[in-house]
Amino acid sequence: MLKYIIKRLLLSVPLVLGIVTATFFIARLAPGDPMDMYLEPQRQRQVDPEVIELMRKRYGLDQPIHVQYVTWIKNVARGDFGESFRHRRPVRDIVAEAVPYTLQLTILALLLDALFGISLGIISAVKQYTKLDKTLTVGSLIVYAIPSFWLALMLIMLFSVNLGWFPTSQTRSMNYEDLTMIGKFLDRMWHLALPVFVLGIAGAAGTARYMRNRLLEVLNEEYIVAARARGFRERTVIVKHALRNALIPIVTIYGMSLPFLLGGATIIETIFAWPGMGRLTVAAVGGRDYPIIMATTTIAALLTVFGNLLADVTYAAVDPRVSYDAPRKR
Amino acid sequence: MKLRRLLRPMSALATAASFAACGPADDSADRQAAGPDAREPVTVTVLVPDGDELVMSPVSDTPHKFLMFQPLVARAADGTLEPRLARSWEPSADHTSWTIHLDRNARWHDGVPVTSDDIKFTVELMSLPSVGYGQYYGVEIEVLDDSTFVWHSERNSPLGDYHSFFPKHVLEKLDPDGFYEWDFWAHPIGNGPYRYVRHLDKTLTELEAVSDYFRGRPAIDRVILIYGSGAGAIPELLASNVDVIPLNAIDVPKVEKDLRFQITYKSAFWSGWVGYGIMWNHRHPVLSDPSFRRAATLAIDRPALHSLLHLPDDLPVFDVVFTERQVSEAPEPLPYDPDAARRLLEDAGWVDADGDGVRERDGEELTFTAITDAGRGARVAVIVQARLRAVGVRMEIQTLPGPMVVWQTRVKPGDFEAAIFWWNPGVYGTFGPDSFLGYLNEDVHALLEVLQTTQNPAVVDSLYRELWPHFQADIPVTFLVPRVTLFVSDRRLRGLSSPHRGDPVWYMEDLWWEEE
Repeated sequence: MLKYIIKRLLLSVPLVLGIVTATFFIARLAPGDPMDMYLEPQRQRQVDPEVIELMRKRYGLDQPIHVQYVTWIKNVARGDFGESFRHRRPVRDIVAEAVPYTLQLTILALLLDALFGISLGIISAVKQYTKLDKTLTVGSLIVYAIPSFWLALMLIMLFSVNLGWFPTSQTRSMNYEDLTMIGKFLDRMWHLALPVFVLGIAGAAGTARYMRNRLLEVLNEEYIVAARARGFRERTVIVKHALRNALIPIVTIYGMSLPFLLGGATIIETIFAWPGMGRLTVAAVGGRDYPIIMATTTIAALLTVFGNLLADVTYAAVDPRVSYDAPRKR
Repeated sequence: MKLRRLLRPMSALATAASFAACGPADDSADRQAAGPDAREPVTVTVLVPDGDELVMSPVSDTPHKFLMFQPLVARAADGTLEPRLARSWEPSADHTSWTIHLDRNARWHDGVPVTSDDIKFTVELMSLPSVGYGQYYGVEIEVLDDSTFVWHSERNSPLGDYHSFFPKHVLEKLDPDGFYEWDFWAHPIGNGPYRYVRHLDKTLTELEAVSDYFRGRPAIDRVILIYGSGAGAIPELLASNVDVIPLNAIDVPKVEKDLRFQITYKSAFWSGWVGYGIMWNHRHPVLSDPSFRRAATLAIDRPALHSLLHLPDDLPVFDVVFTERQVSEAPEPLPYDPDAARRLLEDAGWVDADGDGVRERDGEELTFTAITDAGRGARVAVIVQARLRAVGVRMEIQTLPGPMVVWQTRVKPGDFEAAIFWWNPGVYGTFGPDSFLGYLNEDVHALLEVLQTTQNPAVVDSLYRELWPHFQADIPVTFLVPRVTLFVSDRRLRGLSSPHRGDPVWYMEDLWWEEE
């Protein structure tokens, strides 16, 4: 297993390098210039060209693109993602501020996804072809098909604007500083409720469908028939024998959700003014803020690669039939 | 029944959470008429979609900054300039230097007087290469005394309502290399009508009225800048979480009939001409014909275009460029007259012989492609396309991601037939000898050469006036939609007036709250 992990880690180096290299060149070759922020058509005041040239030099934009690339790779290898053109602060600091906000959102969304998705999938499978199963199936398909931005806006209109139950956006209330620790926690949860629900419910719908199908497959296996024939209670058959096996592929799905933790909430963060990685990335792309674009892409690439690796390793850990070790020679 | 049982605990939980968290309560009780007898605190909350990074940035020019930092002058309701930090100002004969007299009562929020040294210090600080601000390039400040200085510059006027200045006595000992890390930007000491109270990261900035503000204590006691998102702005307003939001024209129908709100706008058309126009490529064999450009302009109902785009009804239409003093004097634009457009095209030999709705001449169809940005430009282009089609002209539309892409990749290199995009053309660059339009008119070029050499407003006015007949004859550009910035605010916020004082943030110190 260790050999396998090392092999996969080594293979991931060119993969990550390939992704960030492609992103680097695509971002630089796209029309537009980061220094456009000084020359925006809407801008009424002109900035002197000499100052713009100075800024170009400061950020190395006056260098040929391959030189910029080599410099960037060298800096990243030292953990330095450079300075944001827009914020004029180290990218590392800006990303570090955004990450906790996104993690709060996505971890809770994944928990909601797992809780509802797996539970509803099990109920649906156990009650196959009943009215409940059909209702859950249709419901989950509808929820799965609804665009998350639309759902978010509808929920805001209903629960924030009309009922006033939840805040429309932001991460905390105006009087946050005056609250007790418990008050602060509740306040954050209150602000998280709608975005987490929107993010989690769409995932839960997909998970429920997957869980239902997988559990039905397992329930038709011979060992389940054998268990039933031996007189085990239905509850024991499902929980002890079927569910454990049906959950194995779900582990893979959640392993591969690692990139989602930091990059999967772009639209929701934008709608709910949640100052996380997604919103940061959108603003950076709009403003040609290359250092931030490259930092967020690199993080997403790393998480994708490691998410896949984690899923594979976990799969082997939970399913004894899967082994990455070389077969023993007889 | 089951559903109700399910919802009941959710509702209770939400209510409990909101009480526990003490979420944003309706502060209408706090708001009373700002009359002399009732001085309950009046708080106005403003949604800022850009995020706090830009508002709190030392180099940003967002209007929110001017709540804390005053410019030298501001624009009065009639468009003229009125004093702010500057009490009065006189230009030199050639208008390359200005003697500015500061208001002696102006104070920093720590009580120290605002002096000429602060102005000089700020200009020098912001001109440092490490700061990279760039807007004071070529400006030199000559201090005459504590409250008088001379602003020398051939290009940068001090009379912009966008300059902000910083306190020398607070900043002079700090290391300029650490400019962006200075704590001052997080806890600023300004000289404007509102002082910094607190900043909740990514959430809000709270400001309070300066009680001894040299221009008089503002009637709005407290301003809270809420950092939200553009997408969530309308719900925030509808939920009464904020009182003021910037508004996209496309969202006007969502709020215009709601009696709780008022829509105001700030225009930029007083500053030359800024907005959407059809930039005709004069190198094109058909589009180079002034009678075609005239016909196309006559075919477009520009006031109706403003209305279709949900822009204010009173936006003016122009065919010429002008100075800000000439807005009311600019000559009458071409009217919407499709019949006249048809006649012009027929006179030029363009007829629809095959009955397909598109005119031809010598077997060639009257068709061209207009490039535009994918935002408002595309909406403008679709309406223009329909109007031109009605007089037998086919306009194909090609959209590109944004105005800057339209400009950099196609218009600047001359690779276009027509372009509809948002641009502040710069009179010389657009119509001068190196015009990206390929506009050739030696008389215009000669006038523009003279215009380049003077800053005297009277001379500039007269040169523009001399340009007008040429513009009216040539129609080098069809001006479509002037640039305006829209705002929607609570109707009880009084004192706003479009077009010059439609921005509630910029003029907060002159506004008041009035219960109906």
